[in-house]
Amino acid sequence: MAYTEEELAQYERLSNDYVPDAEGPLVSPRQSSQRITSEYAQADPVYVHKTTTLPQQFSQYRTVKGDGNCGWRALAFGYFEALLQTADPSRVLGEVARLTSLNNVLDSVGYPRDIYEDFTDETLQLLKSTAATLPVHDDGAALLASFNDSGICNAIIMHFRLVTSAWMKTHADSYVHYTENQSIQDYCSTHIEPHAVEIDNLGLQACIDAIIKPAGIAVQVLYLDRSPGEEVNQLNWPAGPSTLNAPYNGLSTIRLLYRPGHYDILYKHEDIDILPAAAVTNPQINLMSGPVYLSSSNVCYSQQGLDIDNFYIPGLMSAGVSLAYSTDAYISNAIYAPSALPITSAATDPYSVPYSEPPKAIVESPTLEGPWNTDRFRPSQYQVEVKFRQVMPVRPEPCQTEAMKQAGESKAHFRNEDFQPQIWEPGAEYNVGRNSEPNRRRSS
Amino acid sequence: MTKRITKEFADLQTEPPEDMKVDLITENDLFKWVVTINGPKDTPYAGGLFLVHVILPNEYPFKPPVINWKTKIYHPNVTNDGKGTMCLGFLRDGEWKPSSRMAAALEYVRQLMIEPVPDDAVDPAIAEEYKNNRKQFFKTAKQWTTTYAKP
Repeated sequence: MAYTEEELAQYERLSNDYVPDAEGPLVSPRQSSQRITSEYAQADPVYVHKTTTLPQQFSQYRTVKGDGNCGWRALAFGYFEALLQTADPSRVLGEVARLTSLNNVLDSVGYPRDIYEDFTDETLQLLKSTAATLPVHDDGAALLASFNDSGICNAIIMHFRLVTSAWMKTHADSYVHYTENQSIQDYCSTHIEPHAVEIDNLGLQACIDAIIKPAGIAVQVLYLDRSPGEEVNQLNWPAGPSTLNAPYNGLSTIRLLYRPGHYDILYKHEDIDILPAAAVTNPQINLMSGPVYLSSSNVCYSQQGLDIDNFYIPGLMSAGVSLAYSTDAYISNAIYAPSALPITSAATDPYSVPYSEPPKAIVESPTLEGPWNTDRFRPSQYQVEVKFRQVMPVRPEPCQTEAMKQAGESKAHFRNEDFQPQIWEPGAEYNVGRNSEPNRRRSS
Repeated sequence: MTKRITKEFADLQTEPPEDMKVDLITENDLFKWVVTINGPKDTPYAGGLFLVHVILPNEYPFKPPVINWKTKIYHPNVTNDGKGTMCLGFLRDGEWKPSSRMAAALEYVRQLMIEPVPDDAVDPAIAEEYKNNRKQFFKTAKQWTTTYAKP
């Protein structure tokens, strides 16, 4: 059967214009990664092996809509989620400041401000609203809703694309050897700036360099492909030093599952456990050696009927948070979030003590516009402690930190089957009587 | 993104691209424009007045504007099917940049009148003629201009 030239041209046009209907939400809720295993159960044995071992390491994942933006969307969502995990509003607001300053890079390569501000505004807005609720957070529900609003999501992706493009143009030496004979200008014009053009390795590298790494966030990409082996191959981009002076142990990692042409977001079991109480990342808590009364890292403070409007406590945002984990080594990771609750209702709180200036915060909140910067109220350390004792939950969940894991092995720990409270005998410790011997402790 | 469209439209009123005038098709719909183009000089379209509908999709600027020639035009990059579709280069979905302005898109349209892209043609016969028999192409295009694009 012969086709006329017109018919061929018509078919070519149809084929050029063909856009596959991508299914599913822009970003899905977390789901069991066993689903990936069952998806590949009938596939090539290499895939079967690799997807069978995958859920052992990575228990959950989110699907990202495969519409040409999935890699960018996965990175952007991971960036926001990692910041949320820090539960540290000053870190998130620090990102607002840093991304705002990156506008200078956009200016320097000639993007018109009135055009790019529509995109950057959405990113900054979402960062600010994320910071506003911290340290209490909803495990990403608000982020998920925003990323499923195509207007917001597209704008954030475009912001990331433009920053990446501007970064490549201003750091051309680092990238020019990888563009396959294209100039950086042309590469950005064809691979980075157009909407719905999928991220490639070079774009991924540049986006990490410009946005993700300086935020103190690591990236891990797991490649599910036909290469031989039992497990998926992986590539790691360590987190850079955070631009804020607060210590950061790089715990937050964006994990992406790459299948040829597509990215999804993966989670290790511990990534999810850590979500509600990320204060465990603070080194002071890791050094904790005192008695441990609290063991839960999953205190459900989100179910306590918070009035979010009244919860934007400026002092808490900067001084309050670091205060919560700097005043007392007894405070475990579970504490600081619930202890934050009563601070809001200080006026009617019978345990509240008169206002006093908190100690100097470890993290200085950057100077920014917004309600969080108006210092209306600051919590005092005493208040934190009093209320902390009020809300001490004792829950049976497994311990999270090294110190806590080992605590159960001691007989002195209430979890131990042979629990036996230690009784301090001054006589055994010191030579207080004439007959006492220093080494006869607990033998009587 | 209505704000952006409002601003772009206003900018095009104060500073219209060469040979062009931009209006709304209906007064209160910012997403549907009608562009009046004076055929650029030194082209077979010179002396003609061309009407082009520019439809901004709801997803604008994440999707490109749709260009439809309402005035019949003899051009390798415009479909001759009553719709007058022109969709190539950065007007194409996969190549459109949300950071591009409508002014640039319109300027691109005008540029295509001056210099068609036969290698990305929708009408292969006209493209063939443009490449191999420029004289004949000019003659027909001019004829169409006087017939269909009367000012």
